[in-house]
Amino acid sequence: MKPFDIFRTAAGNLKRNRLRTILTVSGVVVGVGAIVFLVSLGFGLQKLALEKIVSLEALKVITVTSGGKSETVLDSKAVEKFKKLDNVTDVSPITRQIAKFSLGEIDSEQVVYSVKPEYLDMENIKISGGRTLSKDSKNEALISKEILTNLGLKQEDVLDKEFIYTLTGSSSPQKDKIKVVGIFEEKGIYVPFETIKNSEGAYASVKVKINDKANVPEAKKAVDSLGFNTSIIKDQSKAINQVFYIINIILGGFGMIAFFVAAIGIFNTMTISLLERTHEIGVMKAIGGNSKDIAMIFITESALIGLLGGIFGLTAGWLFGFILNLLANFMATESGGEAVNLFDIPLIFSILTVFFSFFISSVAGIWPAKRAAKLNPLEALRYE
Amino acid sequence: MAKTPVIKAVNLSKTFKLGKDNEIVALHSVNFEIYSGELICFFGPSGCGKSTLLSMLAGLQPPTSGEVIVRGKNLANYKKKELSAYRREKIGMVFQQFNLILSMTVLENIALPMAFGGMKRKRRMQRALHLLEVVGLGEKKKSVPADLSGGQQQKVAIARSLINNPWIIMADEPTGNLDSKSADDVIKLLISLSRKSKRTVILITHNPDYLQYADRVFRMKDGRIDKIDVNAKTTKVELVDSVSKLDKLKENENSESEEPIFSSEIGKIEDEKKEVLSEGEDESNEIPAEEDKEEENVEPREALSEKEDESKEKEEIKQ
Repeated sequence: MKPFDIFRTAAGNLKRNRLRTILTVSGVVVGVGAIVFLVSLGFGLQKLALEKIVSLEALKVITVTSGGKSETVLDSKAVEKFKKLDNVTDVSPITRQIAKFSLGEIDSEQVVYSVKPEYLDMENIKISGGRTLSKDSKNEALISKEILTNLGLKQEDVLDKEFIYTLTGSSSPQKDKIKVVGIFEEKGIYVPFETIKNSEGAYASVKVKINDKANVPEAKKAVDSLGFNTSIIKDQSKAINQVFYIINIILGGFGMIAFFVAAIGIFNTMTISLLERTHEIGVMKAIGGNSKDIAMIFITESALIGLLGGIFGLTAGWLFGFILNLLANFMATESGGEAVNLFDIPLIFSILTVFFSFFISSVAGIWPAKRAAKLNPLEALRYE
Repeated sequence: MAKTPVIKAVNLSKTFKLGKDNEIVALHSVNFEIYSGELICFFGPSGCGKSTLLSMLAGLQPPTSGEVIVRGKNLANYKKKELSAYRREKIGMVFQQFNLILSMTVLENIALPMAFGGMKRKRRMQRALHLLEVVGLGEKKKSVPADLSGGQQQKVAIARSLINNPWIIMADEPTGNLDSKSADDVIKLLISLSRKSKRTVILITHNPDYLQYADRVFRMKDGRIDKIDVNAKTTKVELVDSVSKLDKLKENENSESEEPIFSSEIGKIEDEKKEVLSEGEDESNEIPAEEDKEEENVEPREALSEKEDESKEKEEIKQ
């Protein structure tokens, strides 16, 4: 029998038992839909996490810390060395000190980072209120939302107001006034580099910005060879990917349970179909049908169920995610949040899912097909 | 002409085991030879082993002992696939229950054996349509079996049995489920296949009315062939209309020219009919049996072109 004739016969058989076919396909749709929905949620969250945590700019930055030896102290000499390396576009040191702030009536100890304004771009610091530090900033500070929350202060309590601070970590306590010009999302307090200088002359870390993401590993090696410790954000994205890899497997596993129930449904349908069509198979064999052709008709039927279920399941899973995302975004924007894509279905995953459904369904049809092929034609003819 | 049997049974026996010590002998060492173009009736009461015998001739079950030899080849030596091909191409089965596939149209049913043979859809549908016209149901081509009466269904089944132009037609009680009028039509059709097409027809029946049409009647009793009647002069029957029509068409052709039927005049006949006609070689064959072509001692041979045509078709089937 020609493959197209096998296909036509199989499709005809599925059409004949329309309701049963629809129900069986629906089972596959639920299974595939569940896999697509859950895994695309995993992929969506993964993408979101990578976008939120790891900005593109941040991927170009190497964070350098001291190597621990006297020749690898992070000072202005080290900064000059870094500036001379290939592909380096910017070098921004940062110092870290503890200072006592008198915020309103509250005194609290906070971590103060002295930075250059470029650093804020490198670190992708987002300002949620006020403005950022400029090149000419002096005696200005950015304060994190977290500190305000911890101290029970509101934005307007601190913005554009001056506070007194005392450096506590150094041997010669420095006391001065500082004006809060902006609020940002992360942790700590940022002040311009010139405002608070480290008395020991060493930096906590240095951010080295590279012209292209692709050159980062090479530049990292160069800095490493100078004896400094380096870290790049790419390592973190790898970890994020690893975590989501596991999450996706778990989510996919839940969907898989539904899918295997559907596969059992296909098996059941094909077995019943075999019983119903025993006489017909007998006729086919009596008039010269090959066992192989008859088996292929059965396998094609179950494969078709899988293919249809796969395609409709993919659509259903995507649609369900899409609608849920719309709802979530609607609620998020209503409450002042940001609209995001919670679901993401990579093309290769879609194709694989449909293929997987097709494949497993075909496998589910093998046993009924084999039995159909093995039927004794004479006994099958007598079967009513 | 020295006759070689188309089908030969040698000491054919069949025993069924029902439990440990309970054996039922359905057929006791049966021997016979059937020749090309014969119309044979197997006649006997229910349970005499007729159907068992036929199923072994059709290769649907192996004998317990003995041999079925079809054109010199022992069916026991056929592999499974070859046996399927044998059932598909060398014999045509007609059953009491018609055994049409209910989900397929009449045309698809007729063409099904050719589909199993891998023939292109267009070609097999053409041939199926032609055969449907031959059995007089041309207007029913789009119907499904459920729309047809029993007699019509059986005619469709006969058309199906003819699709691959087989050597032998085997009909197992083909009129058993029909009213007498339909039964008559069906029997006439089968007889005309034998008489006009010189095709071997094996008919199983327990209706004594049909015995007069047979060349030989094998009377069976208790798993044995009890007696073989030879009808010296078989009763002529009026042929089914459609078959007669084709006949007349040919007669006209012949009256105009001395040349064989497949001469240029045949071009007037519509293409698909010509195609079927060309497959046969005997002038009197509307639906000629393939065996006639293969037998070396059959007299008038047709023009080579027809043979080529057929060999092409066979190649296509193989593909």
